[in-house]
Amino acid sequence: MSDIRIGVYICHCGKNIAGTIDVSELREFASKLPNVIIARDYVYMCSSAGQQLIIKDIKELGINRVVVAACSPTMHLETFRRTIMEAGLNKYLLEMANIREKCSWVHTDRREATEKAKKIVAMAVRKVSSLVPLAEIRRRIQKKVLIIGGGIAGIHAAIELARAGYEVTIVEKTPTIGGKMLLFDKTFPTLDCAQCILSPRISEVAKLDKVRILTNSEVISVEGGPGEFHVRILKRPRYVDENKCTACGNCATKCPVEVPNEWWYGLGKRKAIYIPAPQAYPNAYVIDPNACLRLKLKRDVCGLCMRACDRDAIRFDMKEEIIEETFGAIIVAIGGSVFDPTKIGEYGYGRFKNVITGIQFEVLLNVSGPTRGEIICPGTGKKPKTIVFIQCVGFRNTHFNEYCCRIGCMASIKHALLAKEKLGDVEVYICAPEIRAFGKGYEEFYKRAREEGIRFVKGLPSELREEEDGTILVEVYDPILDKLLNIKADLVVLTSGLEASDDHKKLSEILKIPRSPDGFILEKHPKLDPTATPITGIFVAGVAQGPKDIPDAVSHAEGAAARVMSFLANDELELEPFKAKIDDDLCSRCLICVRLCPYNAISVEKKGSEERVIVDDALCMGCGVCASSCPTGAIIIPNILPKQVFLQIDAALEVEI
Amino acid sequence: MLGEELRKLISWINPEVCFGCNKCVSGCPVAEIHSEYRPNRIVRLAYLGFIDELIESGVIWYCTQCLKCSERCPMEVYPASVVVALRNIASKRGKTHEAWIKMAKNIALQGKILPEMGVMSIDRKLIKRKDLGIEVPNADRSLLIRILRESGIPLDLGE
Repeated sequence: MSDIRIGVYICHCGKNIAGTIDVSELREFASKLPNVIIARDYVYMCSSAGQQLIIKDIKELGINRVVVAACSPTMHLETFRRTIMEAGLNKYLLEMANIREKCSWVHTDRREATEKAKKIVAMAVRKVSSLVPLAEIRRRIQKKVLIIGGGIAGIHAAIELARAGYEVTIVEKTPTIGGKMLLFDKTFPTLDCAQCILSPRISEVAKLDKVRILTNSEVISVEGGPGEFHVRILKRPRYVDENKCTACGNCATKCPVEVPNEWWYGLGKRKAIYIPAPQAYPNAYVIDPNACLRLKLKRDVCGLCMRACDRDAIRFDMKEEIIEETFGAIIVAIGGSVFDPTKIGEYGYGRFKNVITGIQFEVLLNVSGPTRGEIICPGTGKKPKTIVFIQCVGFRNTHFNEYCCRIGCMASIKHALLAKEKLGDVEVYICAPEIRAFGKGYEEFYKRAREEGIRFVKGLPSELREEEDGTILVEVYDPILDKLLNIKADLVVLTSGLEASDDHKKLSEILKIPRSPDGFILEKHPKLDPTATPITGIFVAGVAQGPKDIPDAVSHAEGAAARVMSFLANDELELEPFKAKIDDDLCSRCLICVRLCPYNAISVEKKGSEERVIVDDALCMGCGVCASSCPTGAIIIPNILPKQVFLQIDAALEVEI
Repeated sequence: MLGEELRKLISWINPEVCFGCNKCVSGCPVAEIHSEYRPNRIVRLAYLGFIDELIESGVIWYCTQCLKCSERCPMEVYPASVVVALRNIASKRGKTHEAWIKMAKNIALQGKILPEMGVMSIDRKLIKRKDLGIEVPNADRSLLIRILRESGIPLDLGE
C-alpha cells in the first residue's frame, strides 16, 4: 500500500459548505488519515485556481489518488476528472465526497455536521485507496437524429440539424406536421399572421433532402444507448397515396360519414376522409379508420371516395408498417395537451354552450375554421356584444396544475384585441388575478390592450350562471372598486394552457427518461443544461420540457439542435467503464440476472453445446441489479466491488462521533 | 406570521399561499351584503397577525359557512376554516357573539337551535309532531353540553 499517495481537497463552496462545516477541522482530520499525503481547503475548489492546487500537488508531491470533498458528483465529477487527467492521472482514480447536498445543506448543527463530514471524507479516502485505473469504452456514433414530434419545435430543430449536414427523421403522431400552431390565426405580441410564418418553415423542412418525415407514426420501442439507439417506429396507414393526392377534396364532399373535428376542438365536424388543415404537410387527405364505414366494418362497402378520386389515390389495402432504424441522438419534441375545463364544474364548460375554451376561440378566429373566421357564439349563433375571458383556468391551482401556463395572459390579450378588431362594437373583459407580461414586447402589448379599451378585472368569478336566452351571468369582485361587477356576457372564454399528456408518460417509459413533478420531461439542469435529459444522447425541445410560447419553444429547439450537433460532431462516444462483468467460471447459468436486467443488456450466447451469459456494454448502464442478485457473486462492476463497499462501511464505523 | 394559537387550530392549511385571485369574494353571499366582509381580507389579516382587530371588529361572525370559498379556492386556503378557528379563539377569550351564546343555550337545553314550531294545517290549526304520533327526538344533551363547553362559549344553564 506504500505506493498509494492521496490528496484530499475540501471545498468551502463560498459559505455553502464552510457556513455549516468547520473546514479547517475537517482538513486537520483528513490529513491524518492513512495514505493521505496532503489535505487542503479552498474557497471554490472548482475554480481554475482551485483546480491548479490539485494539478500542482499531483506533479510536485506525486499524488496518485484524489478525493474532492465538495458538492454532488452529478455537479462536478466531470470537472475534477478533467483536472486530474490534465495532470496525467487516470481519471477514474478520483472520488467525490459529497459534503454539500448530503451534509451542509441538510444540517444546521455545526458540530454534528462537521462530524458527519469527517465520516464522509474517511469513507472516500478508504475507497480511493482501493481504486484501480480504468479505460473508458469507446463506441461509434451514428450520425443520424430522430426527432419525436413535428410541431414548431421539432420542425425548427430538424431544419437546423439538416442545414448542418445531419440526417434527420421526424416522427409525428398525427397526419400532419405543424402542431398546435397550424390552428393559429395571429401570434402575440406582434399580431403577425401565424400561417405566413409557419407555412414557409413547413415547406422548407419538407423540401430538405436530409429530412425524412413520418406522419401517422409513433415510436414504440427504443433499445441500445447513446450513439446507437435502436428504434422501432410504427407507421399507421394513411389509406391515401401521398404522392398521388392533390388535396382537391372531391373525396370528402362525397364521404357520407361526419364526426366531430378534433382539430377544431369539437366546434365543428369533419368527414371520415379529411385533411387537418389546408396548409397541412403532407398535403394529402387521410382516412380515419375509426370513422370510415369500409374500414370499420372491414367489408367491401361504400367506396364513394374511391369513385370520386380521379387520381386513383385512395388505397384501402395500405397496411401498418414497422420501421427499424438506428439513430445517434434523439430529440423529444412532443409538445403538450390543452387542459380540459369540464373538471371545473362551477364554470359550466360542457353544460353552457356559450362557455368555450381559449383554443376554441382560436378555432373561431381561424379563416379555414367552422365559422370561416367569424366570431359567433356557439350557443346562439349570434355575434357577441360582450365577451369575458377568465384566466388561469386549471393552472396556478393546487387541484390541477400548480404551475403558471405561461401563454394564457398573452393569448387572451391577443384574442381580446382580435375580437375588437373583427367585431368593432364589443365590450371585452379579461378577469385575471394578475397579468404576466414577461416576454419581449409583452408589457407593451398589455398596455396597447388597455389603450384599446379592453377592461381588466383583477379578480376571478366564483361561478358562472346561464340565463334562459343563453347569455352567461358573470359576477366578479373588482378589488379596486371594492364592488361586485355583474356582467351579462354573450360569450365566456376559459383560458387555459398546456399540460403534460399521456405521451409524456409513455415516452418517458420507452426512453427511460425521468419527468418533473408537473409531468413534463425533466431537463438535465434547469438553468445550465435545459435541453439535455439525464440520459446521454437524448435531448428535449419545446413544450415537451415545460410550457412555452412560440418564441421560447423555438429558442429551446434551436438550443437542442446545437447540443445534438456538438454531440454528433465526435466520431466516437466515450462511455463510462462501469459495466457489469461476468466471471464465466463462477456463473452457474441460473439466468436470474437475464430476467432482472432493466436494460435487456444480458443475454445467453450459445456456441455449440456451450452456453455463456454475456453483457452488452452498449446497453449496460452499470446499475448493479445483476451484481447484487447474483447468487454466486459472479458479476462485478469495476471499482464498485463488494470489497470496496465494505471498506467504506468500515471507515464509517471506525470514526467516533 | 400566523399566531401560534391560530397555527395550531389550522395546522392543515397554509393561508400564506393566497395570491389574491378574489375568487372567494366573487362568490361569497355575505360579501354581497356586508361591505366589510371579504374572505381573503380575513385570511390576510389573520396571517399578518391582526388577530385582536379581527376579534374586536366582529366580522368573523358574519360567515354562514356555506363553504363556497373553501370549495373553489385554487390554492386550498379554506377561508371558511380560518373563520371557524378565529371564532374559537374569540370564544376562548370570552368574545363570543351574543347570538352564538343564545344558539348554544338552545342547543344545550333542547338539543336544537330553535324550538319545534310545528306546521299550520289547512284548517288553520297548529300541528306538532306529537299530534301526529311522530316521535320527538331527544338527543343525549350531556354530550352536546360537553362539546359546547369545550368550544369556550360561555354557557349559563342556570345549574
